[in-house]
Amino acid sequence: MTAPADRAATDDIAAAAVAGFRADVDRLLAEVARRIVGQRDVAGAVTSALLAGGHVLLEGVPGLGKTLLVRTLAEALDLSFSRIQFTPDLMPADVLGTNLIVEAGAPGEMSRRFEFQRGPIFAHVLLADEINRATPKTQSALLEAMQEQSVTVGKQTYPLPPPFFVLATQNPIEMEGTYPLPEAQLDRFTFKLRVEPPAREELHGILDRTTGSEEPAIRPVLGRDRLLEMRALVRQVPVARPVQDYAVRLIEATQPTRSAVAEVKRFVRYGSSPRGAQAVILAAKIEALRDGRFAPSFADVRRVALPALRHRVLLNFDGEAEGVTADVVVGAVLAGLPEMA
Amino acid sequence: MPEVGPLLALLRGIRRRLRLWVALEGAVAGAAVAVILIAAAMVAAHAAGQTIGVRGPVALLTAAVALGALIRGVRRISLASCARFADAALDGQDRVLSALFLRDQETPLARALVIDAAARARTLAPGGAVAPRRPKGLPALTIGVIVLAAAAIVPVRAREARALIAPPRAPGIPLPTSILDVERDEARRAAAAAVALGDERLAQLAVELDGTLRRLAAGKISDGDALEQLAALQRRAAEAAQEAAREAQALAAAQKALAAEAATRGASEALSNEDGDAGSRARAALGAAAGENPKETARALSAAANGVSSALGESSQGDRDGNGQRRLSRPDEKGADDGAAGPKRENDGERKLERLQRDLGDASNACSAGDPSCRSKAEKSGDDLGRMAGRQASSESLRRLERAVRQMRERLGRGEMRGGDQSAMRGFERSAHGDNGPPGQGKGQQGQQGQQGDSQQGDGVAGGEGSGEAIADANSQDGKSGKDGKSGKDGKGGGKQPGKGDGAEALGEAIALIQEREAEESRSTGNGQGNGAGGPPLGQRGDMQSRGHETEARVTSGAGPNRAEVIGGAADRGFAQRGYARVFSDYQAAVEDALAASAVPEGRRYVVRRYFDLIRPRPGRTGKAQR
Repeated sequence: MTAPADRAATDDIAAAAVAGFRADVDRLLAEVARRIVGQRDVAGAVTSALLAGGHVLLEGVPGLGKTLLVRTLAEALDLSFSRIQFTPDLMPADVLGTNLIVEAGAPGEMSRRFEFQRGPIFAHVLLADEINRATPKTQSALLEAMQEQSVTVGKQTYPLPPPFFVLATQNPIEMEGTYPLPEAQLDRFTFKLRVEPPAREELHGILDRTTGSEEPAIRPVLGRDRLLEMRALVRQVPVARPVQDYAVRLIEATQPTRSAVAEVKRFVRYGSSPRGAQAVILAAKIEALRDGRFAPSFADVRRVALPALRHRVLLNFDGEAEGVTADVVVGAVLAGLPEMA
Repeated sequence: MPEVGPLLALLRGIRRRLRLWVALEGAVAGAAVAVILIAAAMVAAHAAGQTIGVRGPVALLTAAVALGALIRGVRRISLASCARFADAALDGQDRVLSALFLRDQETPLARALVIDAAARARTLAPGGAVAPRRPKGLPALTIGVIVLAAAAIVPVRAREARALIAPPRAPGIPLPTSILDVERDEARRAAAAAVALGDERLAQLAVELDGTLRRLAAGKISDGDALEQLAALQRRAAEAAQEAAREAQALAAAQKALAAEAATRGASEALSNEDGDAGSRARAALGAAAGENPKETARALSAAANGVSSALGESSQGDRDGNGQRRLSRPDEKGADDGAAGPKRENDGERKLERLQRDLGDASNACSAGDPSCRSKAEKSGDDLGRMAGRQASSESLRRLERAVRQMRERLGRGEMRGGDQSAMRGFERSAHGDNGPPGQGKGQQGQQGQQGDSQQGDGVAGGEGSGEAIADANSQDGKSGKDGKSGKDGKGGGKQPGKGDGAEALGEAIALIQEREAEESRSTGNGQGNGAGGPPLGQRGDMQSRGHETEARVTSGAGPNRAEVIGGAADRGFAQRGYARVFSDYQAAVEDALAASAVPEGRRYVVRRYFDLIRPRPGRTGKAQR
């Protein structure tokens, strides 16, 4: 039995941890905002995915600052950053690394052995630019890394340094010569975010910052260790059963065989996997912490449902033919699902 | 956990407040139900000339209020529901709900959550969480009270005072006169045939059809009434056609029997004429034969009696089959005269043939026995047989009239008379008649058999006016006298049909109808009928006002039935006619040309080709295709 004094102290520590989490996220986003104009929602969602231990797929036309956002985030977190431009001739070894023959030893006693040369994937933050331009074979090279946080080459498995965060981009317009991501890989992204063009005022801000003589330098505001602490705190956030039940029913409602929503029955081929529920709950916890609360609410679940589920709802032919988007389907599910069962 | 105390206290307070409100809602709902029931009972009582007291309604109202409050008030209200109310009153972030469900967890964040929720709960009173709200049953209660008040102030009516007032019959909407031109032409054609054949029933049906069309066009009867009248007409025409066909069959059998003996061959030939004089000729021929050669005459009359008998037997069998078929296919058309008059007419026809058979047998016996009455009986048989001459033509005219009435019923039933496709349909009908030119132009190209017409443009206007009106005036007296006729020998329709005039009056009306129609046609510069060759079925190239591709059917000119008659006749006689095969190939070729030259969607092409496939000429009863 814990003494009341100890208990009170623990309560204070918990409250302080939540307050510290909120303050650190705010500082991080403020630092990012020094270089990135607008895109607050995208930056916030990318940060949430980073804190949830997940990955993000960014969809948007070129020139909207996707690469700059990731680079800035890496700088602000003091994390290593690497970028891979995906092209049709990119090979898995170009991403993961390869075994090279090296010579070692004194002259006359030289011996040759294989040594693993690490690829660009060995970084904390990996930007996979235009990921849908690489072949499925190369895209699949990321599967193990994204899920297991490790890379296997030959018979040797190499762990990736935590935190490992993949941010992939794809262009929704130029679809010729691209390879759409397979469902298994899409499912491994916590969020799929749409990057919208900046508003007029934001465009003015971009020009002011990028066409002048000085470019704002980014200071590291959080370290790797603090980031891992924050990730651990997210996992400690409790979830009330009705809220979790709402998330579960939300996932069920995206599946055509179990849903009562007409749009789902008519237009959806496959609904969300359990990874969707994990993503929704983790993101809802982060939303609660960012708001200084100790548990997520129904509103948090609703808020994160769209970026967490839009790439997990696969439309059938009718849906494609009717021009229905996954956003419409998820919106219909949210509109038709009561919060309390 | 001590911090949970204030939280639970708040939730219980909210639950009490909620229970109060739902009980109130239940009471209002119960009151609404009671008031509506009382209002209904009051209306029913007033309608029955009775009154209801006050005690019963008050007791019912009280019981309903109490029952409603009880049913709703004792329902379980979960603390989670109460937590939703508390959260809605706070900041909508489900802090109280989460704290309620996580109050037993000992993790630091769960404890912090409960402490936070309890601290916020202290700032909230139950009344603040559950705001007063309007009971859901209030609108129903309001409506019930209004109905009750209205029922209370409506005076009680004595049962005797409630007179049954039939609702006024809705008049029909007038139709343009030209809409019914085709049907009126059919009526006139039937009248002309009736006059030519001396068929009173056909004349009567033609006149009645014309009258129905006039009333419909003038809006004096509704579409529903018109449909009823047309249904009755159709039934009567079908029965009359059947009877005429039976008589024609019997006559043919008798003719064949008379032709077998040399002595009576003259009588058989006399019966072949359909000019109205067949009776007297047959009478004379049979009388002469009986006088000169009674034995042969006896044999011939006996064979004729047998022929009539066999025809009677076949037709009776056919009638039974036909009636069964009709009963199967048209179970809903049991009109007032369907159950009694139909069989009665059939029995009349059969009795007529039986009587003829008996008379022929008597005459045969008399001649065979050398009885002096042989000659007179043979002459009477000749008279009887002569009266049946021309029944085949009557049967066909009646069939045609019946078909026209049926098509009219279908069009009227589908609303085409008043619908948007009307003009297109009429345009097609006129095209089928070859009547594409404007009135008064090109009338000489129509090819209506034997009709007088002008072949010069514009002649019909001047020539038609004077003579047409004069005829109409001169015959108006006949028409009136015909309409004034009382129920006569053919007044069998009964039911909804007005009393029918006798045979002479019916024919008089038919003549008036023909002449009136001719006068109308003259006034309207003719209807395009003439004695020239048939024109192209889709009009002159370039004349047709069509929305699509202009085309031209390949048509051979010449006298004979027009296109509409050929197509219509095909429905009755099967697809084995040579004329139909020729018309079909013309239209099919024209349509294929149009399909090849137009951007018609593939699905529509299929429909057109499928249609032509369905109506293609097929081998007839003889097994030979007539192409």
